[in-house]
Parts: sequence; C-alpha cells; structure tokens
Amino acid sequence: MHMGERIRLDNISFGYGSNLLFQNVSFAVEHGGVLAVAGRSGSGKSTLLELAAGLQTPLSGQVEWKGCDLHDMTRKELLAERHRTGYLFQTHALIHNYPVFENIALPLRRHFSLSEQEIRERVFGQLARFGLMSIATMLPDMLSFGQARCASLARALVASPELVFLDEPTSALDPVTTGLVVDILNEYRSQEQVTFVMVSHNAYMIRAMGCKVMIIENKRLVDISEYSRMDDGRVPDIAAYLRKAV
Amino acid sequence: MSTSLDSLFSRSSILNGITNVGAYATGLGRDIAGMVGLFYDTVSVFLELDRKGYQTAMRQITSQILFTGVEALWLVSTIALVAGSTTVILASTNMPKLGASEYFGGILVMVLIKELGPFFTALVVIGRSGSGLATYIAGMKVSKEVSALRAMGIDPLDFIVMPAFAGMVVSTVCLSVYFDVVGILGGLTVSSITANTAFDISIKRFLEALAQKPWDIGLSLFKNVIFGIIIAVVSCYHGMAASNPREVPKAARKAVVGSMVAALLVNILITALTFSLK
Repeated sequence: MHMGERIRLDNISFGYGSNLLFQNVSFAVEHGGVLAVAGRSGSGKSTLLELAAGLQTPLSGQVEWKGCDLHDMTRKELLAERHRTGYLFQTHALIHNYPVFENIALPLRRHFSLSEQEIRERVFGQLARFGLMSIATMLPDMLSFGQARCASLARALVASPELVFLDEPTSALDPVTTGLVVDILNEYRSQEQVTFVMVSHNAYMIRAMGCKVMIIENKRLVDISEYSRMDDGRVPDIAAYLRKAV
Repeated sequence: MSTSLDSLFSRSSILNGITNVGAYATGLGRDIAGMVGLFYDTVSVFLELDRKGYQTAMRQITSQILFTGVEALWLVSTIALVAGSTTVILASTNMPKLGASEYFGGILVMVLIKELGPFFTALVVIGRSGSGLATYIAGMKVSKEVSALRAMGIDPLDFIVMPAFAGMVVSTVCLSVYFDVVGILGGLTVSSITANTAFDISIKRFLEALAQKPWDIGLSLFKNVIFGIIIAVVSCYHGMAASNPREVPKAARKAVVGSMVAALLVNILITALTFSLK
C-alpha cells in the first residue's frame, strides 16, 4: 500500500456461479487521481465499481480505502467511512418516494448537524449548478432520464465526498449537459482533494478530466497505455477508439 | 427389461423426491435462520438508533402506519362488521335455545376479541401490507435504491426495515383494537335491528364477561404484536432477498404465503398454550 493511495484493489476475482467476470484484477488510485474503466458491454465494469465501493463482496482479493481493508471493517465502521464517498449508479437509484430535494438532502440530514436553512442552501446550490431548480419538488418518476441522472449526481456530490464512484455519468445526456457535468466535476476536483473512479466510454469526458484509462479485457484489467506497444491487429475496438479519442 | 426399467424409474423418482424434500428443508431452514437474523439485526438497530436516525426513521414509520393502518380502516371496518354481526346474531338467537344465554358475553369475548380480531386483522395486513411491503422493498433492491442507501452510509436496516417493522407492529395492534370495537358495537347494533335483540342488555353482558377476564385483552394485544412482527420480518426478508425484476412478484407471493402459514401456526400455538395453562 502506497501512502498516497486513496483506493486499492488487490487480486480481485468475481463472478456469478461458474461464470467468472474477472480474475485477479488489481489497481490503485492516488489521492486526487481519476481512473476511468472501459470495456465491452457485459464485461463487468459496473460490478467492478460496486466491488471498489464495497457494495459487493469479491470471491477473493481485497479492497482497501486509505490502507484499510473493507473486509476487516464492521458494518458500522464501513457505513461511517461511506460518509466520505459519493456514488452515481447506472440507474439513477433515487429513492422513489422522496422528492428530488429530499433525495439530495438525505446524506446531509443523516450525517451532518446542519440547520434546515443550511440544508436548503446546499441542496438548492447543487440543483442550481445543474440547472435543475424547477424539479426540486418532483418525484423521481416524473423526471426524464437525463434529469434523474443529474439529480443523482447532485446527490452524490452534495456531502463533499473525497472518493467518488461514477457509473457512466454522461450516458443518455445531451452534449450540452455532458459539457456541464464535466465542468462541474472538474470544478469540484479543483476545489477539493477528490479521487474519482468511474466507468465511462465518453472520450470527451475522459480527455477533459485527464483520466487514466483501464480496460477490462479477457477477465483482466489492462492499462490502456500498454496498448500503444501492441500491433493494431491485437487491439480491441474499444481500446483503439478510446486511444484515438484520448 | 420393462420390469428393471420400472424399478429404475421408481428408484430414481424416490431419490428425486428425497432430494427435493431435502432441498426444500434446507431452503426453509436457511429462510428461517435468515429471518431470525433479520429480526435480531432490526431490534439491534432500533436500540442503537441515534437522534438523526430517529428523525429519518419517524418519517418512514409514519408513512408505514398510514399505509398499513389508516388506509386499511375501511376494509377492517367491513370485515369487523360482517364478522361481528354474524357472531352476535348466531350467539343471540341460538344460545337461548340451548339454555346458555348467560355465556353470551363470554362467547363474544372469546370469539371476537381473542380469536377473530387478531387473526382477521393479521389476514388484512398480510394481504394488503405484507405483499405491498415485500414488493416495495424488492423494487428498491432491484432498482439499486438499497445499494444507493448503503453507498450514502445509510443502513437499509434503519432506513427501510426497522421503520416498516415498527409501523407494521403498531398498525396491526391498533387495527385489531379497532376491529374489536367495530365488531362488537357494530355487531350488537346490527343484531338489535335485524334480530330484535336488546342492545343495552347485550352490551352489559359483554362488558361483564370482559371484566371477568381482562387478561383476554392482553392476550389479544400480545397476539397482534407477534403477528405484526411475523408479517414485518417475513415480508422484509423476502423483499430484501430479491435480486432481479423476476423476483419482485415472487417476493410478494412468498411474503403472503410465509406470513399466513407462520401466523396460523403461531395462533394455534398461543391458543393451545393458553388453554393448557388454565
């Protein structure tokens, strides 16, 4: 464990039944680093993100946050550690019977001793950044996919997390909103010492955020920079696409 | 040849049968162990709840009480009125013929307060809220809302399960008391209109019988607490066990069947115990 590492996955294997998704996957991200994981559909990118966030248990291997193995933490310790993390799911995963405002306020109400006025200021501040003031009182099922995605991202960032997991943050967003999301994430990065682990195929985002890119291929995680040393014939389409784009 | 094939088939079907029974018993044991674990965890979470957790939980508890208790009032009223009227009319018209009029009040207490009230209320709660709760939680599980809570550092046990649990128990107890009141008063009123029984005499007999056995009310409330716990635990367990959309309706079905069977068995057990202790 390097002292500057915020998160490390060591020899992680995971699968469902006899179907192994990946085997002995390892990576680490430094404090303030940005890692984007890419790969074909069904290759297990979202599962890898959930494993990194401690939301799934690997078959073998360990996940460490700031040098602490998640497996050794009690449920309470892990929940307390999660105060400092944010997660954007591929499905927006907003609590369906809570209005958008309450969804975003949830981590603030649960973990911080803030007055109602302070909560309102922070939640409306987030909504204003995403241009979503008009949806504050709406329930998630009344939102478009893009709006729900932005609301979910606002929820992931509202408690100023220092470790953020993003699963396809710009999927189904129009180019203008994609640009807005990238600007917000970059602005957030510049203010805080934030570490990002994300799943993304958006070349614009990967370039704009200066991500280190890794690709899941043949059940392994491969640093995309390794592909630059390979013949084009051996490079998977997605790596070639990303390499050109980045 | 055919004899040996027959014997082979019958042997293999017997083996299959044993395997199926074994698998079912293992699954049942795993489910029961899981439910006991969930109950223990939920009680632990309830006892360790801090102020912020309490504030968040209260909102969920209120909404559970609204759904399970308040919104079920009309259905409980209807069933209580029908059950109460039937019991009162049958008792008031038949017992004098048997020369047992003095037991009229006791019969109402035994049938309505001790047995029908808790059990019919439990059936309503299972059908309306148990299935609803299992579907609600399974839906949240499948749409990753449960994972989102965990990712935010919010324990799904204290955000979803414990409030549902508390709301379910409180609602079941309140609904049963409501069932008793509507069943007795409604039943006596309907009986006085349709069977010309004297309302004041009937209610006097009922109250006298109740005064003689006040612990019957306690027993009825105890049953309701147990039924509420059973319905909440079984529904939450099956809801939390869902992992894909196909399992959402299965969770509802398992919650209803499991709660009903467990409530029936516990009802028989409590009734048998109370009679054997006399």
